[in-house]
Amino acid sequence: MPDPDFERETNRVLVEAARVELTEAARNLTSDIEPASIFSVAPHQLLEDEEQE
Amino acid sequence: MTVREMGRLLRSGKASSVELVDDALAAIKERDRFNTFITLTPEAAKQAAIDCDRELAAGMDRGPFHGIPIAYKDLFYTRGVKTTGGSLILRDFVPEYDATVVDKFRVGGAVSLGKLNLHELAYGATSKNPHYGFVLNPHNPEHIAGGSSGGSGAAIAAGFVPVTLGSDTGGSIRTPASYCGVAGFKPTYGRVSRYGVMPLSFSLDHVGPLGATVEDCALAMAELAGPDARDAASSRVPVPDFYQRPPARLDKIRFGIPKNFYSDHVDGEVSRSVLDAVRQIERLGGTVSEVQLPDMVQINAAARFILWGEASSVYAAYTDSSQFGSDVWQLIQQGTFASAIDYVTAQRLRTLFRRQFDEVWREVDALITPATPVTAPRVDQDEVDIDGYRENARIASTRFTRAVNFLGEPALSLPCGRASNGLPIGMQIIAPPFTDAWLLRVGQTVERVVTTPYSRGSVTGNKGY
Repeated sequence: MPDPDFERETNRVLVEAARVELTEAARNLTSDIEPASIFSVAPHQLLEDEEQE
Repeated sequence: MTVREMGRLLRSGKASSVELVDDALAAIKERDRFNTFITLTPEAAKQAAIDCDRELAAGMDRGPFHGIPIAYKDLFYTRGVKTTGGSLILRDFVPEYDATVVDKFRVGGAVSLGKLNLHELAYGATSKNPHYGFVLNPHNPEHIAGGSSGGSGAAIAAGFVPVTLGSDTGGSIRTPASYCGVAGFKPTYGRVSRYGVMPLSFSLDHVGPLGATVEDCALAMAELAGPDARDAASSRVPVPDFYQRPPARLDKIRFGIPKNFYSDHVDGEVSRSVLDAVRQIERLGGTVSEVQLPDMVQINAAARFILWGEASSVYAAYTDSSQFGSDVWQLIQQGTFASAIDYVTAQRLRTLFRRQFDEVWREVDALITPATPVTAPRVDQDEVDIDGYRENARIASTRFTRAVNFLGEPALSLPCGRASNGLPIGMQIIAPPFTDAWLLRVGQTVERVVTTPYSRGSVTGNKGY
């Protein structure tokens, strides 16, 4: 039988490990960088629209 | 057989759609020990084939897919036909409407044979489905077909149908294409409607075809591409001509070979096959140069946080772990540890990396990479060993595909050889957003010089005519 506590801890550690990479990458974020919009326009279309403006 | 070959038989009167459908159903009945299908719809298929033959005899030709047997991954809504998502929680779900892409294929005359097996809820890359059977690789059933569109890849490799429809959230079209030795195309995000497709991750999900050849994928894209008001992410960019002939040569096309990431921990035979393909591209006049890519490890990490957040949101209402395969349940649980801050940070990084990748496209027109770092792992293998580097089979299978979902670029997986173990090797060509039709033309030209006959389409073949 799987141990729920062990599984929970394993999942937490896995996410924590991935967060290290995410945090490192986030050092390059400046306050003017907003989230990519996932609805109404595709991520790459944001740039195309900006260029057209 | 390919779509074009079947079309010639139909239009020359050498075969009818009814015969093509009957042959495919008979082949599935006799030879499908790969668990490719969850639901077959033989009666509906036969009736549709009769209608197609009648139309063709009356001079009504719906186009390249008129009378051609195809099949759908079992997460596309099909009106009146069970759509399980490869799960227990949806085992009795019967949609009341068709997905936009199903509707488009039907209008184009395609004949659906049924619904294909997949990794449960499309959340995984092995298609070792505990509820509907493991999808096995037709090239060697001791190996996996890949996933999550495992049935979609295996059904083509087994020679049952020339084209299937799949979805790709982190490589779920390209990975089974690579492992099964067929072509698989993930279009630009927004190019093909997701309406009526079970979501896994709203901003990473893509719909696309797998085919016996790259041309089959191009013909399918001609049917599928286009705006859809019912899909909020659907693109307004005009649809290009997917029927245009591929170039004989690749002169003036700048191909980039990544300096970083895509040569780390790659099986030697896979590396050699992809490099051989690159030499063939140079012989056809293509310009090849090395190019430095953004930090792909960070991109993969950010993509994983988006997947965790969005997928766990989709299945947040489900609390009974016994209704899920253990791997899928663990992934859903992992998502509960990702915070709102993680998610928004990942989406902001998407903006940043998107800009960085646009700089890459000023240097080159396309990138060449392996589709997967290894050939299909054995069914009993949870880890792969790449020259001493041990890696979870799921992580390895999507290592070279995941970033492209995050970025939205179109990407093509096509066979470029086979390893000494007899299994196909896949290469990936990635191109700038909305160059889908161009990429498929280039892919057809590359396919002519790199695809080995063994890994192209049918392993055992349909009736020869």
